[in-house]
Amino acid sequence: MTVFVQLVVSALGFGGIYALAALGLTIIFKTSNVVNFAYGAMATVVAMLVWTAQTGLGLPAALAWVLAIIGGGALGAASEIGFMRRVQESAPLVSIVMTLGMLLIVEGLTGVIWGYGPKAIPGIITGPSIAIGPVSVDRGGLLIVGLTAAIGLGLYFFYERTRPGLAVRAVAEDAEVASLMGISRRWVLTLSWAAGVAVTGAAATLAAPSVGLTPTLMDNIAVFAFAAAVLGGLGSLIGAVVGGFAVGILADLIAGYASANLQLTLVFALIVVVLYLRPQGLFGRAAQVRQ
Amino acid sequence: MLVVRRVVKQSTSGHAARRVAVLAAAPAAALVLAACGASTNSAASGTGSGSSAPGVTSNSILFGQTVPKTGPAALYGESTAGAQAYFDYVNAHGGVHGRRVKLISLDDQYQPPVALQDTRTLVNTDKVFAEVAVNGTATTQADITVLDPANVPVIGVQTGATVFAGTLRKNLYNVWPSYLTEGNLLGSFAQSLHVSKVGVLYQNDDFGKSLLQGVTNSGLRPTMSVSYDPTQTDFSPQAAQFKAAHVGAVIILAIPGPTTDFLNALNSVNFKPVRIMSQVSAIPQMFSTAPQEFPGSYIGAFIPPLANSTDPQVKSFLSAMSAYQPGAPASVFAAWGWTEAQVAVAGLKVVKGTLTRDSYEAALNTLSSLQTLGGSVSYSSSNHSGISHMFMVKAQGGNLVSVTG
Repeated sequence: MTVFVQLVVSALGFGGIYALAALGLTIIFKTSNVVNFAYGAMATVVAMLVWTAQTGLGLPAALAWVLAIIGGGALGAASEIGFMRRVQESAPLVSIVMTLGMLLIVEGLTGVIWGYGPKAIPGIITGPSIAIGPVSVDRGGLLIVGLTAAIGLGLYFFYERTRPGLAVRAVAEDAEVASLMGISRRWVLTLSWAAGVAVTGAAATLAAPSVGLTPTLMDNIAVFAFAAAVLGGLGSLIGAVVGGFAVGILADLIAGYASANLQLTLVFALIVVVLYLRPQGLFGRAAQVRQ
Repeated sequence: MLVVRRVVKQSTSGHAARRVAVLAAAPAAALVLAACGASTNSAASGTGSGSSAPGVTSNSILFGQTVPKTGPAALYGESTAGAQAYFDYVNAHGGVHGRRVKLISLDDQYQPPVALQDTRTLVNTDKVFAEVAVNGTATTQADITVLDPANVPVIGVQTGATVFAGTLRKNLYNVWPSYLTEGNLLGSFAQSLHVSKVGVLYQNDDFGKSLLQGVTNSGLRPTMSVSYDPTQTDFSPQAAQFKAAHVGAVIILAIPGPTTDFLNALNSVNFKPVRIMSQVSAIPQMFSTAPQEFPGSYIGAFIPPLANSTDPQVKSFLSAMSAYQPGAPASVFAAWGWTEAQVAVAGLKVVKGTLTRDSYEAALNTLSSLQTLGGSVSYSSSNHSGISHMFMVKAQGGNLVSVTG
């Protein structure tokens, strides 16, 4: 039983990272209906910016984070304006290929600019884990869970309780009607890409202290986070958060009780089952399953 | 040519009696090749007249290599600077019998298809004489499909996989110790600690399984052996398993990234067993990427500690790196390349007659107790295995230091 509890508790840290990354994916999908396969590579740029600001420029961690998140937002906005806008009206496959192309370009440039050797980003919270009986609770993991909850709630409040959030939802529901009401779809899409990359960037920066920062930092995480977003229902904020923690816990239980080599296989097997029974995912609405 | 072919066939048989015959035949073969001159190799390889072999001119010898310079294994690409520094050092001291040694290095991104294309370019377009210090198991497995048929000598493959270290190939000369040797050392060291339980984390492929085989060959019976997937990021399940089993030591048979992740996962569950790891795992960056658990770890090694060393081999290496490759780190990876280049040049120095690929291989087969930075190297026609002596070092104070006592 102790091992089971430890596995679940330890999984919360990476579960939170998957949830945050899935939120970033969801933010973009909600408005653009595009799965941004470059999101992991773009998020890594944010973590690299944090490293540069902290280690290269010697800035305090909080300021480094703020500047890097702004940088990530700028990268997301530039991607939308420079690339995605051009293929906005094209077939969905074109947008997918465009994001795959951006994945390779961004990851390649990241390696050229920052190199391939692993870099260290100090954790925001350090110190020994908290012992609760035989179970250890990692302080960094607690921070990730807290930040994930705060960002998730913040996004929920934004979408449900603010006028800009309402505008975003209007574009998501029907872009043409929204534009007739004076809402700029272009701005909404640009800001969504900015916010999506910024949030996923936070996930990458939180992962870096325990994983080591390299251009491929998010390769594996992005796969699990994508699984989380699909499981929760693409386009659903709460689905992304619940899916993230569910995938994190499930993956660790599989590795703990079966084999780490079966993690991806069994996680995706579960997703296939869920989608078979409920094509819109756990929290997605049927209307969000688009053609 | 018939004579040469017969010698080759015998040289791969591995029997002692034949070894004597081959040793006797090698100079004869060299003479025959010398008599054939350019025609022997040129005909096979299509080189221009006047050269005794592809990549060889009156004043230069061209080596090639494929290593990852970009991608997840890019750190291994630092070995190029070590090999180049040794060649520069040799050239600054007159070259080899008046010929300068040159190196063309291509980036394979640690991807076998890229490595294969690189190798085709090196052999067919650049016309390299031989390859030196090539990196990786899967990549080299792709490379040899080009190198073997063309009889291109390969000196130093940066892997200890049994597919190379345990298999005699006429044209391939190992320098690295085999993973079986290293695993045996790690297992023996773990037993010497007299801890009650030892766990093993291993990568679930030939690399990890070869090391694990070496560990069990040492007589160690691990309490638990847990595999991982090379793409895995979250190692908290494995950390929790080892903690629950109360192991006193964990042997980590992993590549650098997963090793970092696993060490950090151990820290996150407040567990600090003795950490014993492969030389493949330990990179200096771990002092910062796994600051809690990397210091104090024990690591298998064949390259001696480079910091504060009085070893003349180390001093030569550091001095040459400073002189000829001042912008490159004098890392353990560079030391791999330097060591392999030492072997390549030592072989060139003892070639008898005209320099051809066959005469070069015959010369390499005569190397005996060659002292290199990484240890002693001996070859024969039936033995192309690399360095056999390994020892343990410890991560301490930002460096790898000798384990005493």
